[in-house]
Amino acid sequence: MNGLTNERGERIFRVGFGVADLLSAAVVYVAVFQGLPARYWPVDAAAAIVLGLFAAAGAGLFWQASWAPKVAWVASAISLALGLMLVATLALTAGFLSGIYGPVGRGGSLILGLAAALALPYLVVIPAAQLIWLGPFRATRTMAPEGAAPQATSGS
Amino acid sequence: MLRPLLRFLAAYFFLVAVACVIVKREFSLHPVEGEVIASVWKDGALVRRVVLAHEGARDPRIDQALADSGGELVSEVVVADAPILVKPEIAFAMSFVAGKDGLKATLGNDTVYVTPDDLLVRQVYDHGIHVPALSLALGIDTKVLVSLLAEKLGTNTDRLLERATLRRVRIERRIPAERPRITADTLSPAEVKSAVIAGANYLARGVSPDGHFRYAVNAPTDQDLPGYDWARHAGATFFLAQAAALTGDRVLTDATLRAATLLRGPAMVACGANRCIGDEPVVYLGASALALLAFTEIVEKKIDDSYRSQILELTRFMRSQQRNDGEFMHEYDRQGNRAIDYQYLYYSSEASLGLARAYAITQDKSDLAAAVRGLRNLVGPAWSFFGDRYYFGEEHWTCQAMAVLWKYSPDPEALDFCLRWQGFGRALQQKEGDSYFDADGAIGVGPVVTPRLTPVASRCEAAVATLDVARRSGVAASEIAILDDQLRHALALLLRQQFRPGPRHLFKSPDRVEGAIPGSEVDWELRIDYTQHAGSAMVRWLEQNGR
Repeated sequence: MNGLTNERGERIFRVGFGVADLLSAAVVYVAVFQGLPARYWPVDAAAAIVLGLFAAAGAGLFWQASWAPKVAWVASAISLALGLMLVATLALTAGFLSGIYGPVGRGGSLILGLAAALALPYLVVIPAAQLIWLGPFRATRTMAPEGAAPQATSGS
Repeated sequence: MLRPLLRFLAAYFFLVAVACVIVKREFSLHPVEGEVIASVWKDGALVRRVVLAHEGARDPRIDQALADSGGELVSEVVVADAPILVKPEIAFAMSFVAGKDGLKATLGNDTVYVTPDDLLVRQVYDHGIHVPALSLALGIDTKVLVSLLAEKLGTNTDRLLERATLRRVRIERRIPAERPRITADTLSPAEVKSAVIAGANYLARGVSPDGHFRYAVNAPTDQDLPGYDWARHAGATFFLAQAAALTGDRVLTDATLRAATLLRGPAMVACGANRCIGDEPVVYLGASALALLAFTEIVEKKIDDSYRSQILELTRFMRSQQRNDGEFMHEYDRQGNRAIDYQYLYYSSEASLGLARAYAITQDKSDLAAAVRGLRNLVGPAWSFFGDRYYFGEEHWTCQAMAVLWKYSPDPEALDFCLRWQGFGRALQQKEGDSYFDADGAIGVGPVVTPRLTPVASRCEAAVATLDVARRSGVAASEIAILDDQLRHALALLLRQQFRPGPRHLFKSPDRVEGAIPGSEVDWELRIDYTQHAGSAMVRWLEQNGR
C-alpha cells in the first residue's frame, strides 16, 4: 500500500513539474520572443537556454527519461539564478529611478511590480520547489519505470 | 534541501531590499547652497556665461556682454546635486529629469556646467533611447551631452569620460518676469480666449500665400522640419475657421481661406465618380473627413458660403466609403477606382463627425443616417471585445460626433461610452506632485516619460463634447462636477505650456513661435496638429463657458 501511495505521489509530482516546466518554457518564449519590442542578444540567449532546458526537462519528466531529473535540476538552478537576478534588477531599477525621479509613481511602480510578480512564479517559485523535490544534484532521484517505486540514490 | 533554500531566499530578499534603499539614497538629490550660472542669451545662442558664487552677485563680463549684444540675462541656480552613473549608457541616459537636470563636470582645476537651457536649446532631452514599437523616446542623448561637455572643457570625449568627475545637478531657472501660474482654479474664459487667439495667430503666420502651413517647426532654431499631411492641414484649417469665427479677426479669416482654397483646389482630386482630398494614388479617408469639417465650419460661421458645393461632394464621397454595418473603408485606390476596406485609428469617427456637422448644411437625411450608423458602430461592435470596459484608446472624435448628433438622434449608449472613456482618462490623469514635470492635468505613464501634450488636448476636445451632452441629458451633478474638474486641470496645463511667450531667450525667432503648443514641455517640435487640438478644445470650451 505504501509503495503504491508513494508511486502515485511520485507520478503526481513528476507530471506536475513536467507541466510546470513546459508552461514555464512557453511563458519565457511569449514574454521574451513575442513580448519584448526589440532583440538584445544577452537577454535572448539567456531566454533561449532557459526555454530549451525547461522544454527538455518537461518532456523528459513526462516520458520518464533517465536524464530528465538531471536536466530538470540544471534548468531549475539556472532559472532560479536568472529569476533572482531579474527580481534584483527590477528592484534596484525601481530604487535607482526613484532616486532620480522622486517617487516612482503609480504607473512606474505598477509596471515594475507586475513584471516582478509575473517573473516570480515561473523563475523563482517553481524552480525552487522543483529543486526541493529533486534534492541535491549528485543525489537527484532516478526515474523509475511505471509500476516500480521511485527512489533517490541517496537521501536529500 | 528545503531549509537551506528557504534561508538563502530570505537572505536574498533582505539584501535586495537593503540594496534598494542604499541605491535610492545614493542617487537622490542632496540640497546644496549652489552656484549661480549667469548666461547672456541672444537669438537662441549663448553669448557669455559666468558662474557666480551666489544670487545677486555681479560680474563685469556679464554687464559687458549684455551691453554689447543686447541679449537677455538668465540666471540658473544650482539647488541640489547627486552622483551619476556613466555606465551602462542606459543608466546615464536615464539619469536626468528632463528640463530640470544638468551636469557638472570637473577636470583638473576646471569646472563647467551643462545646464537644462543648454540641453533644451539643442533638444537633447527625450532623444536618448528610442522604443519604436511604443513610439517612445526616453532619456537624454548622451553623445550630444558628452560632446558638449568635452567642448566646454577643451578636451575629447574619451578623456572626459575617463578622468572628469561628473555630478547630476538640479537647476532652477530665474527669469524676472514670469506670468502667474494658471491652474484649474484660476482658469478663466478671458485667459482661454487669449490662448485661442495666440494659437490661431501662430498657425496663421505660417500659412503661405499658396495656402500651405508651416507643418512642423523646430522652435529653438525656427527651422522647418520635413513632412506634410493633408488630414492635419484640414484639421488646422478647421481650427483657424473656429478662431476666425470667434474673433472676427480679418488676419485669421484670410489665413483660413488661403488654407481652405488649397484644400478645395490642388488637394481635391477625383476619386472615381466623387471627389476627395489627397494627392497620392491611394488616398485616406481622414483628410476628406477633416476637410469636410473645415468647410462646414467655414459655411456655418458665414466665412465663405462658396464652400457649400465642396461639402456636398465630400459627403457623397464619405457615404460611398461606408459599409452596411456603419464602418467606413479608409482607403481609396484612385487608379483602380475602388474603395479599400482597411481601417486605421481615427478615420471612422472623423467621418461620422464630418457627416454629422455637414447635415446642418446639406439637410440631406442620408448624411444624418450615415453619421448615426457610423457612431453606433463606433460605440458598439467596433469597441466590443473582452476587457473593453477596462481599456480605451486615443480615439477622441467619437464623442464629438456624439455631441453633434445628440440634437438629432440622442444615443444614450454613446454617452455612456464617452463617460466611461473620460473615466479611463481620469485614471491616467496626473496630479500635482505625481512627478517632477508639470504634472497637474497631464496624461502620463509614470514620472520617467515626459507627458505629451497632444493626448491631453485631444482628450479635452472629447471632454468638452461629453460635458456638453452630460449637462443636457440629466447626468448626475456629481459626475458632471468631476468631469468639469478633470477638464479644467487639463486645459490649465495646455495654457501653462503654450509658448506665451515661452523661454524666449532659447528661441532664434521668438515672435515666430509665440502661441504654439509644443509636443511636450521639453519637446519643442511644433507640428500644426498640436496647436489645432488644443485650440479646438479651447474654442468649444469657450462656447460652453461664455466667450
